[in-house]
Amino acid sequence: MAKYMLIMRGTDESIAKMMSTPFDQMLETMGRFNDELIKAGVLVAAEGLDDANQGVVVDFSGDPPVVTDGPYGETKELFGGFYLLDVASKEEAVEWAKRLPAVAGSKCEIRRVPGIDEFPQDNEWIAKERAWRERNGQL
Amino acid sequence: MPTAGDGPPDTESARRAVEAVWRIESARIVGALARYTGDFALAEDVAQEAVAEALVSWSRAGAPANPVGWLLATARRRAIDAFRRRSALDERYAPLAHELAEGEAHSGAPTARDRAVDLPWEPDRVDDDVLALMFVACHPVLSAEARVALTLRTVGGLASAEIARAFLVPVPTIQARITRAKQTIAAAGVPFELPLAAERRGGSAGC
Repeated sequence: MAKYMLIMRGTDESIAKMMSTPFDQMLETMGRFNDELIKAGVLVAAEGLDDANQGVVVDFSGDPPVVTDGPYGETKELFGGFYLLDVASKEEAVEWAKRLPAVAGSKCEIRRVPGIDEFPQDNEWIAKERAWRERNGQL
Repeated sequence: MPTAGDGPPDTESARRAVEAVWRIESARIVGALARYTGDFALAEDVAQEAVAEALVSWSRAGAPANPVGWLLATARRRAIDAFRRRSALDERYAPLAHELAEGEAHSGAPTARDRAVDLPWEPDRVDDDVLALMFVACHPVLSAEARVALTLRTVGGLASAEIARAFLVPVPTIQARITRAKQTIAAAGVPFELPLAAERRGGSAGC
């Protein structure tokens, strides 16, 4: 099994379309999909992000970094939320992504999340992180 | 998965694509086919045949845009082939079976031919299909261990090797257990349907 992140990316148009859907209906649509993931035993975590306009960007181009309010870069293909799935293959992550109740115009990027086993186990920081993950039931 | 820009499709990626769809949809695929054919064992068999065909076809042409639809359509064709073979056999045995057939015709049981209509993917029926599948897999004619193995296979979509690991027994033991369970269900004429509420309460305990 391997972890994959489904990174949800919306455009201004697709976000506007989603916002025009009745809230209850949106909850039900998302809820049904999330329930499928839970029943299949593949859902590790999922979060949606608040309005990008409420965000802050810290830019490290210079020293000290520059802090600006508002969305990051162009408002097209903004990162709006993610699913973290534990699945057998990239193909399975793709199959789940294809089932996302996403509105037209939005995109989902799929990226593998390397596990702690892939790091050198004799490194003290990795050992500490592993212990923390075990305590938190992540391993 | 559509392989745009991925280079030519290959056997390994086809296998992973088939596995991915099967892991997610196997219970619903077998459930829909069982409703269509009215025959649980046949549904399992034709679903497996469709998976075998997908392994060959998808490694040549890439996975189709609608993998579930592809598997259902292919399995449905295999089911129709099976109906045809059976009806050819039936014709050969007709003189022998004449009296039996008369009895069945009066019982009002739906025949395979009645069900040989289109097989649409009906999202609202999917949960019922999977529940009916669970009732068949947990039918009281089966032993408790056969019920668990068959449920893990048909509802959970687990491979024999995975079930064998959980039971700590050799893979052939599980394969034989599942084969026997399917034969038992076929021999007992277990229907593919949701039992009535009263039957549900008294019936398939143990799963």
